[in-house]
Amino acid sequence: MFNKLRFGLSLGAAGGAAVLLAWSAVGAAESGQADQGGEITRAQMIAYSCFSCHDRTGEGIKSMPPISGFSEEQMAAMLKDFKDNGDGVTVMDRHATGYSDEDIREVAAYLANMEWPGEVDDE
Amino acid sequence: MSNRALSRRDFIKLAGAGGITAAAGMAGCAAPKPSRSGDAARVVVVGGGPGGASAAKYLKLYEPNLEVTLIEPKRAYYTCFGGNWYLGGFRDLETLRHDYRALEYRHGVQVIHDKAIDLDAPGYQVKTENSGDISYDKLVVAPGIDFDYGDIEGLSSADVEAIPHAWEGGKQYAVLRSQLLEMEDGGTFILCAPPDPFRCPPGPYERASLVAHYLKENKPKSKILVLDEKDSFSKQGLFEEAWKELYGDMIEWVPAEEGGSLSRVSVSERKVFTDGGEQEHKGDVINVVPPQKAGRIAQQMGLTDADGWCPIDQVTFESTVHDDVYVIGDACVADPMPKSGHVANNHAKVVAVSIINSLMGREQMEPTTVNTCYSLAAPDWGFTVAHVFEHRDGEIHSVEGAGGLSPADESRGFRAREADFAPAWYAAITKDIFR
Repeated sequence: MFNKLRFGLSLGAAGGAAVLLAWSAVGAAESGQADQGGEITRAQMIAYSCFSCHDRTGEGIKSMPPISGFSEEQMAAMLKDFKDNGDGVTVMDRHATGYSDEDIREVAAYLANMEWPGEVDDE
Repeated sequence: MSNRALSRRDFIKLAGAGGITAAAGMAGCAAPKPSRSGDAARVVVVGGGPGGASAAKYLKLYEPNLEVTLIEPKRAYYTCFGGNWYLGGFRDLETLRHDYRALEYRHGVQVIHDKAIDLDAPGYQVKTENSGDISYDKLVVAPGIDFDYGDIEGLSSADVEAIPHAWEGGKQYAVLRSQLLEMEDGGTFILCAPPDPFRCPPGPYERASLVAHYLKENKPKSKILVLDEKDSFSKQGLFEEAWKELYGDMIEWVPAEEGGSLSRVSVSERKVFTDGGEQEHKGDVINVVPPQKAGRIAQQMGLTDADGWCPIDQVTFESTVHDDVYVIGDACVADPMPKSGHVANNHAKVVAVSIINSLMGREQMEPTTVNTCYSLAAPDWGFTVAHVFEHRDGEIHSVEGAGGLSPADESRGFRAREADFAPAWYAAITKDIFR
Protein backbone atom coordinates (compact mmCIF):
# COMPACT_ATOMS: atom_id res chain seq x y z
CA MET A 1 0.00 0.00 0.00
CA PHE A 2 1.23 3.46 -0.72
CA ASN A 3 0.73 5.94 2.01
CA LYS A 4 1.72 9.57 2.50
CA LEU A 5 3.99 11.40 0.08
CA ARG A 6 6.67 11.29 2.70
CA PHE A 7 9.54 11.09 0.27
CA GLY A 8 8.26 13.51 -2.28
CA LEU A 9 7.04 10.66 -4.33
CA SER A 10 3.65 9.20 -5.00
CA LEU A 11 3.29 5.86 -6.62
CA GLY A 12 1.04 5.29 -9.55
CA ALA A 13 -2.08 3.21 -9.16
CA ALA A 14 -4.09 1.21 -11.64
CA GLY A 15 -3.27 2.16 -15.22
CA GLY A 16 -0.40 4.33 -14.08
CA ALA A 17 -2.69 7.31 -14.03
CA ALA A 18 -1.60 8.76 -10.75
CA VAL A 19 0.89 11.53 -10.87
CA LEU A 20 4.43 10.89 -9.84
CA LEU A 21 5.91 13.88 -8.16
CA ALA A 22 9.06 15.38 -6.97
CA TRP A 23 9.40 17.79 -4.17
CA SER A 24 12.24 19.32 -2.29
CA ALA A 25 13.12 21.41 0.68
CA VAL A 26 15.05 23.67 -1.68
CA GLY A 27 11.86 24.46 -3.55
CA ALA A 28 10.16 25.52 -0.38
CA ALA A 29 13.10 27.62 0.70
CA GLU A 30 12.68 29.59 -2.52
CA SER A 31 9.06 30.24 -1.73
CA GLY A 32 7.39 33.04 0.14
CA GLN A 33 8.37 31.41 3.40
CA ALA A 34 12.07 31.71 2.76
CA ASP A 35 12.44 33.85 5.87
CA GLN A 36 11.42 30.78 7.84
CA GLY A 37 13.92 28.59 6.05
CA GLY A 38 10.99 26.69 4.56
CA GLU A 39 9.90 25.36 7.93
CA ILE A 40 6.49 26.39 9.18
CA THR A 41 6.73 27.21 12.85
CA ARG A 42 4.15 27.09 15.61
CA ALA A 43 4.50 30.87 15.99
CA GLN A 44 3.72 31.35 12.31
CA MET A 45 0.62 29.17 12.58
CA ILE A 46 -0.61 31.12 15.58
CA ALA A 47 0.12 34.41 13.81
CA TYR A 48 -1.80 33.25 10.76
CA SER A 49 -4.80 32.56 12.97
CA CYS A 50 -4.76 36.25 13.97
CA PHE A 51 -5.39 37.24 10.34
CA SER A 52 -8.97 35.96 10.47
CA CYS A 53 -9.92 39.11 12.37
CA HIS A 54 -6.97 41.47 12.04
CA ASP A 55 -6.24 41.06 8.34
CA ARG A 56 -3.14 39.74 6.63
CA THR A 57 -1.88 43.29 6.13
CA GLY A 58 -1.93 43.63 9.92
CA GLU A 59 -3.79 46.91 9.51
CA GLY A 60 -7.09 45.72 10.95
CA ILE A 61 -10.40 46.41 9.24
CA LYS A 62 -13.06 48.83 10.48
CA SER A 63 -12.96 48.65 14.29
CA MET A 64 -10.68 45.60 14.32
CA PRO A 65 -7.39 46.93 15.69
CA PRO A 66 -4.06 46.62 13.84
CA ILE A 67 -1.44 44.03 14.74
CA SER A 68 1.39 45.36 12.55
CA GLY A 69 3.71 48.19 13.49
CA PHE A 70 4.49 46.82 16.95
CA SER A 71 7.92 45.93 18.17
CA GLU A 72 8.35 42.46 19.58
CA GLU A 73 8.40 43.88 23.11
CA GLN A 74 5.32 46.00 22.57
CA MET A 75 3.27 43.14 21.12
CA ALA A 76 4.38 40.71 23.83
CA ALA A 77 3.55 43.23 26.55
CA MET A 78 0.13 43.91 25.07
CA LEU A 79 -0.74 40.22 24.73
CA LYS A 80 0.49 39.58 28.26
CA ASP A 81 -1.71 42.42 29.48
CA PHE A 82 -4.71 40.84 27.71
CA LYS A 83 -3.87 37.55 29.37
CA ASP A 84 -3.28 38.83 32.91
CA ASN A 85 -5.57 41.82 33.10
CA GLY A 86 -7.95 42.30 30.19
CA ASP A 87 -9.57 45.43 31.58
CA GLY A 88 -12.02 46.87 29.09
CA VAL A 89 -11.15 44.24 26.47
CA THR A 90 -14.06 42.50 24.75
CA VAL A 91 -12.55 39.30 23.31
CA MET A 92 -8.76 39.27 23.33
CA ASP A 93 -8.56 38.48 27.04
CA ARG A 94 -10.46 35.25 26.36
CA HIS A 95 -8.03 34.36 23.55
CA ALA A 96 -4.80 35.39 25.28
CA THR A 97 -5.48 33.11 28.23
CA GLY A 98 -5.22 30.17 25.83
CA TYR A 99 -1.49 30.66 25.24
CA SER A 100 1.64 30.09 27.30
CA ASP A 101 3.97 33.01 27.94
CA GLU A 102 6.42 31.33 25.59
CA ASP A 103 3.78 31.19 22.82
CA ILE A 104 3.11 34.89 23.41
CA ARG A 105 6.80 35.79 23.15
CA GLU A 106 7.21 33.75 19.99
CA VAL A 107 4.13 35.01 18.21
CA ALA A 108 5.07 38.58 19.16
CA ALA A 109 8.50 38.00 17.63
CA TYR A 110 6.97 36.52 14.51
CA LEU A 111 4.53 39.41 14.03
CA ALA A 112 7.21 42.04 14.73
CA ASN A 113 9.59 40.53 12.20
CA MET A 114 7.29 39.34 9.45
CA GLU A 115 7.11 41.05 6.11
CA TRP A 116 3.57 42.38 5.83
CA PRO A 117 2.13 42.11 2.34
CA GLY A 118 1.17 45.79 2.30
CA GLU A 119 -1.63 45.19 -0.14
CA VAL A 120 -4.19 47.88 -0.76
CA ASP A 121 -7.01 47.49 1.69
CA ASP A 122 -9.97 46.91 -0.57
CA GLU A 123 -12.61 47.33 2.09
CA MET B 1 -17.92 26.86 -19.86
CA SER B 2 -15.08 29.29 -19.53
CA ASN B 3 -11.63 28.34 -20.69
CA ARG B 4 -10.76 27.75 -17.06
CA ALA B 5 -13.09 24.81 -16.84
CA LEU B 6 -10.49 22.57 -18.29
CA SER B 7 -10.94 19.33 -20.09
CA ARG B 8 -9.04 16.34 -18.82
CA ARG B 9 -6.63 16.68 -21.75
CA ASP B 10 -5.92 20.35 -21.10
CA PHE B 11 -5.51 19.57 -17.49
CA ILE B 12 -2.87 16.99 -18.21
CA LYS B 13 -0.99 19.54 -20.33
CA LEU B 14 -0.94 21.92 -17.43
CA ALA B 15 0.02 19.30 -14.94
CA GLY B 16 2.94 17.99 -16.96
CA ALA B 17 3.63 15.51 -19.70
CA GLY B 18 0.85 13.02 -20.06
CA GLY B 19 -0.27 13.43 -16.50
CA ILE B 20 2.51 11.14 -15.42
CA THR B 21 5.21 13.47 -14.32
CA ALA B 22 8.54 11.82 -13.89
CA ALA B 23 9.96 12.08 -10.43
CA ALA B 24 13.14 14.06 -10.48
CA GLY B 25 14.65 11.80 -7.93
CA MET B 26 14.32 9.92 -4.74
CA ALA B 27 13.99 11.19 -1.24
CA GLY B 28 16.32 14.01 -0.43
CA CYS B 29 17.89 14.32 -3.85
CA ALA B 30 15.01 15.69 -5.91
CA ALA B 31 15.87 18.72 -7.97
CA PRO B 32 13.65 21.71 -7.28
CA LYS B 33 11.22 22.31 -10.10
CA PRO B 34 8.84 24.87 -8.78
CA SER B 35 7.35 25.87 -12.14
CA ARG B 36 3.72 25.27 -12.92
CA SER B 37 4.46 22.82 -15.70
CA GLY B 38 7.13 21.05 -13.70
CA ASP B 39 6.92 18.81 -10.75
CA ALA B 40 4.81 20.75 -8.34
CA ALA B 41 2.50 18.64 -6.25
CA ARG B 42 -1.15 19.20 -6.93
CA VAL B 43 -3.67 19.77 -4.19
CA VAL B 44 -7.31 19.70 -5.21
CA VAL B 45 -9.89 21.36 -2.99
CA VAL B 46 -13.53 20.39 -3.35
CA GLY B 47 -15.93 23.07 -2.14
CA GLY B 48 -15.53 26.85 -2.13
CA GLY B 49 -17.12 27.84 1.18
CA PRO B 50 -15.21 29.33 4.10
CA GLY B 51 -13.22 26.11 4.65
CA GLY B 52 -12.38 25.25 1.05
CA ALA B 53 -11.69 28.79 -0.15
CA SER B 54 -9.44 29.49 2.84
CA ALA B 55 -7.61 26.20 2.30
CA ALA B 56 -6.93 26.98 -1.36
CA LYS B 57 -5.68 30.46 -0.50
CA TYR B 58 -3.50 29.44 2.45
CA LEU B 59 -1.96 26.49 0.62
CA LYS B 60 -0.70 29.02 -1.93
CA LEU B 61 0.36 31.53 0.72
CA TYR B 62 2.30 28.93 2.67
CA GLU B 63 3.75 27.28 -0.40
CA PRO B 64 3.47 29.16 -3.70
CA ASN B 65 5.08 26.24 -5.56
CA LEU B 66 2.07 24.05 -4.98
CA GLU B 67 -0.44 23.66 -7.76
CA VAL B 68 -3.81 24.28 -6.15
CA THR B 69 -7.13 23.61 -7.86
CA LEU B 70 -10.49 24.56 -6.38
CA ILE B 71 -13.59 22.78 -7.65
CA GLU B 72 -16.77 24.70 -6.88
CA PRO B 73 -19.93 24.78 -9.00
CA LYS B 74 -21.10 28.25 -7.98
CA ARG B 75 -19.63 31.48 -9.35
CA ALA B 76 -20.11 33.17 -6.02
CA TYR B 77 -20.69 32.19 -2.43
CA TYR B 78 -23.19 33.84 -0.10
CA THR B 79 -22.18 33.43 3.50
CA CYS B 80 -24.64 32.09 6.02
CA PHE B 81 -23.01 34.25 8.66
CA GLY B 82 -24.41 37.75 8.33
CA GLY B 83 -27.58 36.27 6.86
CA ASN B 84 -29.57 37.02 10.01
CA TRP B 85 -28.54 40.68 9.74
CA TYR B 86 -30.22 40.67 6.35
CA LEU B 87 -33.33 39.01 7.82
CA GLY B 88 -33.31 41.76 10.45
CA GLY B 89 -33.45 44.35 7.69
CA PHE B 90 -30.11 46.08 8.22
CA ARG B 91 -27.76 44.37 5.78
CA ASP B 92 -28.14 43.95 2.03
CA LEU B 93 -28.01 40.31 0.89
CA GLU B 94 -25.62 41.20 -1.93
CA THR B 95 -23.00 42.39 0.57
CA LEU B 96 -22.78 38.79 1.74
CA ARG B 97 -21.73 37.66 -1.74
CA HIS B 98 -18.11 36.72 -2.49
CA ASP B 99 -16.62 35.52 -5.76
CA TYR B 100 -13.44 33.60 -6.49
CA ARG B 101 -11.57 36.15 -8.60
CA ALA B 102 -9.01 37.09 -5.98
CA LEU B 103 -8.26 33.43 -5.31
CA GLU B 104 -7.76 32.93 -9.01
CA TYR B 105 -6.00 36.08 -10.13
CA ARG B 106 -4.28 37.26 -6.96
CA HIS B 107 -3.35 33.98 -5.33
CA GLY B 108 -2.90 31.73 -8.34
CA VAL B 109 -5.51 29.14 -7.44
CA GLN B 110 -6.92 27.35 -10.45
CA VAL B 111 -10.69 27.61 -10.09
CA ILE B 112 -12.87 25.12 -11.90
CA HIS B 113 -16.56 25.91 -11.76
CA ASP B 114 -17.87 22.41 -11.89
CA LYS B 115 -19.40 19.85 -9.61
CA ALA B 116 -17.33 17.09 -8.05
CA ILE B 117 -19.40 13.93 -8.26
CA ASP B 118 -17.22 11.11 -6.99
CA LEU B 119 -13.84 10.01 -5.77
CA ASP B 120 -11.46 7.37 -7.06
CA ALA B 121 -9.28 7.18 -3.97
CA PRO B 122 -6.94 4.37 -5.15
CA GLY B 123 -6.47 6.24 -8.45
CA TYR B 124 -6.04 9.64 -6.77
CA GLN B 125 -8.72 11.27 -8.92
CA VAL B 126 -11.81 13.37 -8.35
CA LYS B 127 -14.57 12.82 -10.85
CA THR B 128 -16.41 15.90 -12.05
CA GLU B 129 -19.62 16.42 -13.94
CA ASN B 130 -18.14 18.21 -16.98
CA SER B 131 -14.40 18.51 -16.50
CA GLY B 132 -13.40 14.88 -16.44
CA ASP B 133 -11.28 13.21 -13.79
CA ILE B 134 -8.92 15.49 -11.94
CA SER B 135 -5.76 14.01 -10.47
CA TYR B 136 -4.47 15.01 -7.08
CA ASP B 137 -1.66 14.24 -4.72
CA LYS B 138 -3.62 15.57 -1.80
CA LEU B 139 -7.34 16.20 -1.71
CA VAL B 140 -9.18 18.58 0.61
CA VAL B 141 -12.93 18.03 0.85
CA ALA B 142 -14.89 20.93 2.31
CA PRO B 143 -18.47 20.03 1.44
CA GLY B 144 -20.41 21.91 4.11
CA ILE B 145 -23.70 20.41 5.18
CA ASP B 146 -26.66 18.59 3.80
CA PHE B 147 -30.13 18.37 5.34
CA ASP B 148 -31.81 15.29 6.67
CA TYR B 149 -35.59 15.58 6.33
CA GLY B 150 -36.03 11.88 7.03
CA ASP B 151 -37.55 12.22 10.51
CA ILE B 152 -39.89 15.11 9.69
CA GLU B 153 -43.19 13.78 8.41
CA GLY B 154 -44.77 15.87 5.69
CA LEU B 155 -41.71 17.93 4.83
CA SER B 156 -39.01 17.39 2.23
CA SER B 157 -36.39 19.34 0.32
CA ALA B 158 -39.05 19.96 -2.33
CA ASP B 159 -40.87 22.30 0.09
CA VAL B 160 -38.12 24.86 0.64
CA GLU B 161 -39.92 27.63 -1.24
CA ALA B 162 -42.93 27.32 1.08
CA ILE B 163 -41.07 26.35 4.26
CA PRO B 164 -37.51 27.63 3.83
CA HIS B 165 -34.57 26.34 5.85
CA ALA B 166 -32.52 29.46 5.12
CA TRP B 167 -29.48 27.59 6.42
CA GLU B 168 -27.44 27.96 3.24
CA GLY B 169 -26.52 31.45 2.12
CA GLY B 170 -28.23 33.43 -0.62
CA LYS B 171 -31.53 32.49 -2.21
CA GLN B 172 -33.07 30.71 0.76
CA TYR B 173 -32.55 33.83 2.84
CA ALA B 174 -34.35 35.89 0.20
CA VAL B 175 -37.28 33.44 0.33
CA LEU B 176 -37.60 33.76 4.09
CA ARG B 177 -37.14 37.53 4.06
CA SER B 178 -39.89 38.01 1.49
CA GLN B 179 -42.27 35.88 3.56
CA LEU B 180 -41.51 37.99 6.63
CA LEU B 181 -42.11 41.17 4.61
CA GLU B 182 -45.49 39.84 3.48
CA MET B 183 -46.59 38.72 6.93
CA GLU B 184 -49.41 40.74 8.53
CA ASP B 185 -48.90 42.56 11.81
CA GLY B 186 -50.04 40.16 14.52
CA GLY B 187 -48.76 37.12 12.65
CA THR B 188 -46.67 34.29 14.07
CA PHE B 189 -43.20 33.40 12.89
CA ILE B 190 -42.28 29.81 13.80
CA LEU B 191 -38.65 28.79 13.84
CA CYS B 192 -37.89 25.09 14.35
CA ALA B 193 -34.34 24.70 15.64
CA PRO B 194 -32.39 21.53 14.82
CA PRO B 195 -30.80 18.90 17.06
CA ASP B 196 -27.05 18.88 17.67
CA PRO B 197 -24.73 18.85 15.87
CA PHE B 198 -25.49 21.55 13.35
CA ARG B 199 -23.93 24.51 11.55
CA CYS B 200 -23.75 27.70 13.62
CA PRO B 201 -25.02 26.72 17.09
CA PRO B 202 -26.19 30.25 18.09
CA GLY B 203 -27.67 30.87 14.63
CA PRO B 204 -31.33 30.01 15.31
CA TYR B 205 -31.40 32.25 18.38
CA GLU B 206 -29.68 35.15 16.63
CA ARG B 207 -32.29 34.69 13.92
CA ALA B 208 -35.16 34.82 16.42
CA SER B 209 -33.61 37.99 17.88
CA LEU B 210 -33.15 39.83 14.62
CA VAL B 211 -36.51 38.84 13.19
CA ALA B 212 -37.88 40.24 16.47
CA HIS B 213 -35.93 43.43 15.79
CA TYR B 214 -37.58 43.71 12.39
CA LEU B 215 -41.05 42.85 13.71
CA LYS B 216 -40.81 45.20 16.70
CA GLU B 217 -40.16 48.11 14.34
CA ASN B 218 -42.63 47.10 11.65
CA LYS B 219 -45.23 44.63 12.97
CA PRO B 220 -45.13 44.95 16.75
CA LYS B 221 -48.18 42.77 17.48
CA SER B 222 -46.45 39.72 15.98
CA LYS B 223 -45.07 36.72 17.85
CA ILE B 224 -42.06 34.48 17.44
CA LEU B 225 -42.23 30.86 18.49
CA VAL B 226 -38.98 28.93 18.65
CA LEU B 227 -39.64 25.18 18.78
CA ASP B 228 -36.47 23.39 19.75
CA GLU B 229 -35.08 19.87 19.49
CA LYS B 230 -32.86 20.71 22.46
CA ASP B 231 -33.29 21.68 26.11
CA SER B 232 -30.60 24.35 26.07
CA PHE B 233 -28.72 26.36 23.46
CA SER B 234 -25.58 28.30 22.71
CA LYS B 235 -25.21 31.67 24.49
CA GLN B 236 -28.61 31.02 26.09
CA GLY B 237 -28.21 33.34 29.05
CA LEU B 238 -27.00 36.20 26.88
CA PHE B 239 -29.83 35.75 24.40
CA GLU B 240 -32.51 35.49 27.08
CA GLU B 241 -31.20 38.59 28.82
CA ALA B 242 -31.38 40.49 25.53
CA TRP B 243 -34.82 39.12 24.59
CA LYS B 244 -36.31 40.25 27.89
CA GLU B 245 -34.73 43.68 27.67
CA LEU B 246 -35.34 44.34 23.99
CA TYR B 247 -38.42 42.38 22.97
CA GLY B 248 -40.49 41.73 26.11
CA ASP B 249 -42.54 38.60 25.54
CA MET B 250 -42.40 38.65 21.73
CA ILE B 251 -40.13 35.58 21.60
CA GLU B 252 -41.30 32.32 23.15
CA TRP B 253 -38.79 29.48 23.28
CA VAL B 254 -40.12 25.94 23.75
CA PRO B 255 -37.45 23.37 24.66
CA ALA B 256 -37.80 19.71 23.69
CA GLU B 257 -38.72 18.74 27.25
CA GLU B 258 -41.72 21.07 27.07
CA GLY B 259 -42.91 19.75 23.73
CA GLY B 260 -40.72 21.70 21.28
CA SER B 261 -39.53 18.69 19.30
CA LEU B 262 -40.89 18.65 15.75
CA SER B 263 -42.66 15.57 14.42
CA ARG B 264 -44.81 16.67 11.48
CA VAL B 265 -45.42 19.61 9.16
CA SER B 266 -48.53 20.38 7.15
CA VAL B 267 -47.20 22.59 4.39
CA SER B 268 -50.66 23.36 2.95
CA GLU B 269 -52.17 24.35 6.32
CA ARG B 270 -48.99 26.10 7.49
CA LYS B 271 -48.97 24.08 10.67
CA VAL B 272 -46.30 22.27 12.60
CA PHE B 273 -46.95 19.46 15.06
CA THR B 274 -44.61 18.84 17.99
CA ASP B 275 -44.36 16.62 21.03
CA GLY B 276 -45.16 13.45 19.09
CA GLY B 277 -48.05 15.20 17.34
CA GLU B 278 -49.71 16.24 20.62
CA GLN B 279 -49.21 19.97 20.07
CA GLU B 280 -50.29 21.92 16.99
CA HIS B 281 -48.90 25.33 16.05
CA LYS B 282 -50.18 27.57 13.26
CA GLY B 283 -47.56 29.80 11.68
CA ASP B 284 -47.84 32.62 9.18
CA VAL B 285 -44.19 32.14 8.34
CA ILE B 286 -42.51 28.84 9.14
CA ASN B 287 -38.77 28.28 9.06
CA VAL B 288 -37.69 24.69 9.66
CA VAL B 289 -33.94 24.25 10.06
CA PRO B 290 -33.66 20.49 9.51
CA PRO B 291 -31.27 18.02 11.14
CA GLN B 292 -27.92 18.04 9.39
CA LYS B 293 -25.15 15.83 8.12
CA ALA B 294 -22.04 16.25 5.97
CA GLY B 295 -22.52 17.64 2.47
CA ARG B 296 -23.70 15.21 -0.18
CA ILE B 297 -20.35 14.85 -1.96
CA ALA B 298 -18.74 13.61 1.27
CA GLN B 299 -21.36 10.88 1.47
CA GLN B 300 -20.86 10.07 -2.21
CA MET B 301 -17.09 9.85 -1.66
CA GLY B 302 -17.62 7.43 1.22
CA LEU B 303 -16.04 9.76 3.75
CA THR B 304 -18.87 9.71 6.29
CA ASP B 305 -19.52 7.59 9.36
CA ALA B 306 -22.82 6.05 10.52
CA ASP B 307 -23.93 9.46 11.86
CA GLY B 308 -23.38 11.14 8.50
CA TRP B 309 -20.27 13.16 9.43
CA CYS B 310 -16.65 12.72 8.35
CA PRO B 311 -14.21 11.22 10.86
CA ILE B 312 -10.69 12.63 10.73
CA ASP B 313 -7.37 12.68 12.50
CA GLN B 314 -7.98 15.78 14.60
CA VAL B 315 -4.39 16.97 14.33
CA THR B 316 -3.88 16.70 10.57
CA PHE B 317 -7.52 16.63 9.36
CA GLU B 318 -6.74 13.60 7.22
CA SER B 319 -9.77 11.37 6.72
CA THR B 320 -9.69 8.12 8.65
CA VAL B 321 -11.30 6.50 5.60
CA HIS B 322 -8.86 7.40 2.79
CA ASP B 323 -5.17 8.29 2.82
CA ASP B 324 -4.25 11.70 1.42
CA VAL B 325 -7.86 12.92 1.61
CA TYR B 326 -8.58 15.61 4.19
CA VAL B 327 -11.95 16.86 5.38
CA ILE B 328 -12.43 20.31 6.93
CA GLY B 329 -15.21 22.65 7.96
CA ASP B 330 -18.73 21.79 9.10
CA ALA B 331 -18.59 18.29 7.60
CA CYS B 332 -15.78 16.87 9.71
CA VAL B 333 -15.96 15.49 13.22
CA ALA B 334 -13.95 18.10 15.10
CA ASP B 335 -15.64 18.15 18.49
CA PRO B 336 -15.43 20.18 20.65
CA MET B 337 -15.00 22.78 17.90
CA PRO B 338 -18.36 24.24 16.87
CA LYS B 339 -19.40 24.18 13.24
CA SER B 340 -18.71 27.82 12.43
CA GLY B 341 -17.21 29.82 9.57
CA HIS B 342 -14.39 30.97 11.81
CA VAL B 343 -13.59 27.38 12.74
CA ALA B 344 -13.69 26.28 9.07
CA ASN B 345 -11.22 29.08 8.28
CA ASN B 346 -8.97 27.80 11.09
CA HIS B 347 -9.26 24.19 9.89
CA ALA B 348 -8.13 25.43 6.49
CA LYS B 349 -4.96 27.02 7.81
CA VAL B 350 -4.12 23.86 9.74
CA VAL B 351 -4.82 21.52 6.82
CA ALA B 352 -2.61 23.66 4.58
CA VAL B 353 0.29 23.15 6.98
CA SER B 354 -0.39 19.47 7.56
CA ILE B 355 -0.51 18.82 3.80
CA ILE B 356 2.71 20.74 3.18
CA ASN B 357 4.46 18.98 6.07
CA SER B 358 3.27 15.62 4.76
CA LEU B 359 4.50 16.40 1.23
CA MET B 360 7.84 17.54 2.62
CA GLY B 361 8.22 14.49 4.84
CA ARG B 362 8.27 16.63 7.97
CA GLU B 363 6.90 15.90 11.39
CA GLN B 364 3.33 17.12 11.92
CA MET B 365 2.87 19.97 14.33
CA GLU B 366 0.26 19.98 17.07
CA PRO B 367 -1.39 23.33 16.43
CA THR B 368 -3.48 25.67 18.51
CA THR B 369 -6.60 27.06 16.85
CA VAL B 370 -9.33 29.52 17.75
CA ASN B 371 -12.96 30.34 17.28
CA THR B 372 -14.59 33.73 17.67
CA CYS B 373 -18.30 33.87 17.11
CA TYR B 374 -20.28 37.09 17.16
CA SER B 375 -24.05 37.12 17.59
CA LEU B 376 -26.30 40.14 17.44
CA ALA B 377 -29.51 40.38 19.45
CA ALA B 378 -30.07 43.80 17.84
CA PRO B 379 -27.91 45.97 15.59
CA ASP B 380 -26.43 47.63 18.69
CA TRP B 381 -26.45 44.60 21.02
CA GLY B 382 -23.77 42.00 20.41
CA PHE B 383 -21.94 39.29 22.30
CA THR B 384 -19.43 36.58 21.59
CA VAL B 385 -18.19 33.17 22.43
CA ALA B 386 -14.47 32.55 22.07
CA HIS B 387 -12.53 29.30 22.15
CA VAL B 388 -8.90 28.25 22.03
CA PHE B 389 -8.22 24.66 21.02
CA GLU B 390 -5.17 22.43 21.24
CA HIS B 391 -4.84 19.61 18.74
CA ARG B 392 -2.79 16.80 20.25
CA ASP B 393 -2.70 13.01 20.38
CA GLY B 394 -5.13 12.84 17.47
CA GLU B 395 -7.79 14.81 19.38
CA ILE B 396 -8.98 18.36 19.91
CA HIS B 397 -9.12 19.82 23.40
CA SER B 398 -10.57 23.13 24.61
CA VAL B 399 -7.85 24.97 26.50
CA GLU B 400 -8.93 25.18 30.11
CA GLY B 401 -9.34 28.68 31.46
CA ALA B 402 -9.42 30.21 27.98
CA GLY B 403 -12.32 31.27 25.82
CA GLY B 404 -15.86 31.54 27.09
CA LEU B 405 -18.80 33.87 26.73
CA SER B 406 -19.12 37.62 26.94
CA PRO B 407 -19.79 38.54 30.55
CA ALA B 408 -23.39 38.56 31.79
CA ASP B 409 -24.96 41.76 33.14
CA GLU B 410 -22.62 43.98 31.15
CA SER B 411 -23.50 47.56 30.21
CA ARG B 412 -25.34 48.53 27.04
CA GLY B 413 -22.09 50.20 26.04
CA PHE B 414 -20.20 46.91 26.22
CA ARG B 415 -22.90 45.20 24.15
CA ALA B 416 -22.72 48.07 21.63
CA ARG B 417 -18.95 47.71 21.35
CA GLU B 418 -19.25 44.00 20.61
CA ALA B 419 -22.03 44.76 18.12
CA ASP B 420 -19.70 47.22 16.40
CA PHE B 421 -17.02 44.56 16.13
CA ALA B 422 -19.40 42.11 14.45
CA PRO B 423 -19.43 43.69 10.96
CA ALA B 424 -15.69 44.37 11.32
CA TRP B 425 -15.18 40.67 12.02
CA TYR B 426 -17.32 39.91 8.96
CA ALA B 427 -15.25 42.18 6.74
CA ALA B 428 -12.00 40.75 8.06
CA ILE B 429 -12.85 37.08 7.90
CA THR B 430 -14.44 37.20 4.46
CA LYS B 431 -11.32 39.00 3.22
CA ASP B 432 -9.20 36.30 4.86
CA ILE B 433 -11.27 33.61 3.18
CA PHE B 434 -11.91 34.98 -0.28
CA ARG B 435 -9.44 37.78 -1.02
